[in-house]
This record gives sequence, structure tokens and C-alpha cells, in this order.
Amino acid sequence: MLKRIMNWLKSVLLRKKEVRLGIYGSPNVGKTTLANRICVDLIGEPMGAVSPVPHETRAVQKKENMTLSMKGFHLTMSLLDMPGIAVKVDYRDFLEYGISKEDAQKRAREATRGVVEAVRNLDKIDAALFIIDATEDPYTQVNITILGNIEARHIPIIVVANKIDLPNANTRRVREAFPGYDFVQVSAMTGENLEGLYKEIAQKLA
Amino acid sequence: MHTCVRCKRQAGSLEEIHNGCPCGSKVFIFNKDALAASEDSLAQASPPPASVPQQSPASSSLMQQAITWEKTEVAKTDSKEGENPAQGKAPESYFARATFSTEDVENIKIVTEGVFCVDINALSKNPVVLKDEEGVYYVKIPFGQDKWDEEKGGDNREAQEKEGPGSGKNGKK
Repeated sequence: MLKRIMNWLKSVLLRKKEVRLGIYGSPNVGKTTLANRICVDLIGEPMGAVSPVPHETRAVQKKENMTLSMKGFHLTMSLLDMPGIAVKVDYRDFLEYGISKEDAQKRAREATRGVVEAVRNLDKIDAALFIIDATEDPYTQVNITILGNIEARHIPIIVVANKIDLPNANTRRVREAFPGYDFVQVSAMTGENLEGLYKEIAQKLA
Repeated sequence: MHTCVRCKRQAGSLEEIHNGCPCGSKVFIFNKDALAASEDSLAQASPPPASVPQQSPASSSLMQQAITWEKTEVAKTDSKEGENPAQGKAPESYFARATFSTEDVENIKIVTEGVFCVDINALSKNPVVLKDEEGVYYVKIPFGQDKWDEEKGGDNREAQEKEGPGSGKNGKK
């Protein structure tokens, strides 16, 4: 009984002030677009640049002291937009976007460093939004491995199926691929169902 | 030092190991102690050149062949690089491929076919990153909590315990 009281006191006194929420996923699934939406909604300014060229975000971007208030829930958090995680980074993939070979090679090096940084940051987050492109096959090595890594660290996860505004989006396939996780479908581009995401975050983390 | 398992004869050359011992055996074992003894004798004998003959002819031959092979490989790779002016920028030198700098993101480099350079220090902290060629990288994402995670894990677990509920536990429904 005494131990239980001590644990409760500890949890109240040493309670974390700010939840570090990491946004993870493969490149070009809409992580930064979603981060921008959340940041604009909560603090009025975007997180970073978005681009159709993969690996646009090559370093962890962070916005601190954001407060999410919803129906009695109050959550102070810092949002970490992670570089897209890939198992292979090839400069040739960037050449088709009109980038010179030298710049493409530099981009590949930076992108790889970003992948390493994102993986290392798994140890620094308190919760994760795992973004999956609903128009693509969700059964990828990156999706399975990263979700497994987050799960192994006992970090709360919300699986977010993005790009539901596109006609070929298949959210059912995403949900069925990763059952057992809290699931939200959104369109970061149009802002569709962002309310649903905020509700899920607040319920899970506040 | 490679010795034949049948006649205990020391291999005189890399070719002999490849082709087999004159006694007919093709199995050689590597004798670390004999090599260490040979290296010791080499180190002791190094200042005066006259003492070099103390080293066994077999080890001398092996080392010489290894050095020659390495030089040939370097020359080969360098000449290959020189043959390709269409690449535009000067290709990486052998030295750049065989050493690591602070700029490098990879911890394993392919020096030449079948020859790898590994940054063990970086491997203990980061996921495995293999550089295939300039601008092409392969990343092995560690699954679960690997060794380097566990080292930090102690600190994390401590922090999580301090943070209390709602911060580190998975509240999966």
C-alpha cells in the first residue's frame, strides 16, 4: 500500500511537462505536410518545406511548447518531424527531378544521415505518429521494422493513413496490415479528419 | 602461418594454399602462435637488416605476396577510375575509400570487390550504413533493441520510471 502511494506521488511530482511526439514514416508519405498542418493549427506557423522530391526533410525538425486543448484535455507537446526512413538511398532516384549528379549525391548523403538520426531519435520520443501513404502497399520492410522498433520500446503509437483525398487511397488495407494499433485516416493536404487525429492524440497522451 | 594438417608442413605461398600441399592434402590450418612468434622475431630483427634472415622463408613469402597483391589491387582500381573521364568529377581515391572522416555517414565502405572497410566505433552507436558507391547507401535498421539501444536503454528506463504513467507506456487499445 505504502509502495503504491509512493509510486503515485512520484508519478505526480515527476510528471513530464512536455510530451515529445515524433512523426515517423517512409519518404514522401506526407510527414512534413501533416506536421505543417498541426503546427499551423496550434501555433500558427509551419514546420518546414515540402517537396515532391523524396528526402526533402533530411534533419529532424522540432517545434516546442505546443498546446493541444480538446474537450477538457490539455496536452503540451513538442513535435518532431523526422526524415523519411528508407533502407536504400540512391542518388539516381533524384536525377529524374532535374537535380545535378553532384547535388543528388550530396542529397543522398544528407538523406542517409537523416535516416540514421531518425532511428537514433527513437530513444528520445515519448509517442509516435506513424504515417503511411494510403495509396501505396503498406507491407514494406520499413513500415514493419520501424513499427516493431517503436513497439519494442513501449512507445505509444498512432498509425495514420494519409492521402485519403486521393481516389486510389485504400485505408482498409492499411488498417488490416497493422491491426491492434490506434488508427486514424487523414488528408494532410486538405486537412480532412485532422479533428479526428487531434482527438486520438488527446485521448491517448493527455 | 598456414600448416598442412597431414604433413604439418608450412605453406610456402598463397598459391600452395590454393592448389594444395605436395603431400596431396588440401586442408591447411592457420597457426596463430607461429605467426606471432614470426612477427616477434621480425620486430626484434628490424633495426639491423642483417638479422632479417631469422624470419622464416614461408612467412616472408606470404607477407611479400600480400603486399604485392594489395599494390596490384590499388593500381587496378586507380587505373579503372582513370579510364572513366565521363564521370565528370574526380573519383574517390583508394585512401578515401579505405579511411573514415567526420563527413562520412557510412560505417562500412566497399574498398574494392570483396574488400570492406568497417568503422567499428561508429557501428557501436549507429545502425549499419553501407556505402556502395558515391551517393548510394544501404541502411540496416536495427530491429527491436540492439546492443547500442540497450546501453542507452538503462538511462531511458530510468527516465521513464521517473516520468510516471502516460509518458512512456504504450496505451494500445
